[in-house]
Amino acid sequence: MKRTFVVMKKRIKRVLVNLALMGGIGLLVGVSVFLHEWFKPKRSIVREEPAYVLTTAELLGDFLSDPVSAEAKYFDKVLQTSGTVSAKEVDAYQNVNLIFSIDGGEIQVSFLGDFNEDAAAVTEGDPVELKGNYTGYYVDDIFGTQVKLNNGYILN
Amino acid sequence: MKNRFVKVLSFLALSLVATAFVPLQDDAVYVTRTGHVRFFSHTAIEDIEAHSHQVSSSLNTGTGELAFVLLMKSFEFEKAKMQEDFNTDYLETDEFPKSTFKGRITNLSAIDFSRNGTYTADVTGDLMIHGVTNTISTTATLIVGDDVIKGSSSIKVKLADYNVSGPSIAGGSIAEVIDVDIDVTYKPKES
Repeated sequence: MKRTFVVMKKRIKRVLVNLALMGGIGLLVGVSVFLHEWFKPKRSIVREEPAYVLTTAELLGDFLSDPVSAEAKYFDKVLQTSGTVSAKEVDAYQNVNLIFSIDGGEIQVSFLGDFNEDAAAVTEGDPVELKGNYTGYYVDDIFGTQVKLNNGYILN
Repeated sequence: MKNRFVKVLSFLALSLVATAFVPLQDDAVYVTRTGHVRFFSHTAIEDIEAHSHQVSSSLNTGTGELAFVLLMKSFEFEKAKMQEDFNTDYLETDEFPKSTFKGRITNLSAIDFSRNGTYTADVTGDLMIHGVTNTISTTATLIVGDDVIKGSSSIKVKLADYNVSGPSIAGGSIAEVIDVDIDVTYKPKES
């Protein structure tokens, strides 16, 4: 009887130790996953391979002919595009925006942070090749079809 | 007597026709494609802030009509995880990629767009976020300068009013009411 009790006690102890170990490992994994997710680096347009390489005329042309399909095709993608700069605008926060105007609309590429330095050197009429992530489009009476890229990065 | 009457009528008619073809000095469209919107969520657990610098907007100084288009994907957050959650779990930006505001200045007579100065505009219109439209009213500060109008306003957005919900709102790490600050610098629309 006494022996059975000792064996039972040992078994319970072993189960408790195992449970504590599993809980500890689970907690460690959970915290690691949380920290990994929480501190994961932001998307890098510089490092990310472009999903499409095309001219600004081809890009805008897609939106002029079938905006719904173009939106689905390019949504959240990194694009590499080239064209001649029609205008440059600097906003109130000193962020540079390059505009590529084509009949019926325009493409706006916005630069943020350190990437403004390269964009600031660009002038109207310059041929430019750049990368940026597609953020969306819309159509109105004032601007026509507007296609926007963010986080611009000059390649040439 | 009859001749005089005809002359007066003719003069009035000519004056009306002439007036119709003279553009109102103040009736102009001002635009921007680089407006800024900041949203800020404050709770005891954490603060969340995001900025978009790609807001397109137009202001018709003759009619007081105002329009804004904001592409939700253009919001930049401090942390990648916040940006990801914002786009996928809360605002569902693939399904609802734009927010818009269409409204007008309701106290237009109190603003002299031909004279430089600072004015307070009362604004009412329809705000669409996450596919849900609500009518809102707010005030905006307009600073009229030479060929430039600067506008700014702050609004509070109750997320539940726009069907935005999620565990972090219920859990208290995202505020139920978000502060949204808008500032734009308009320039005359090139014809």
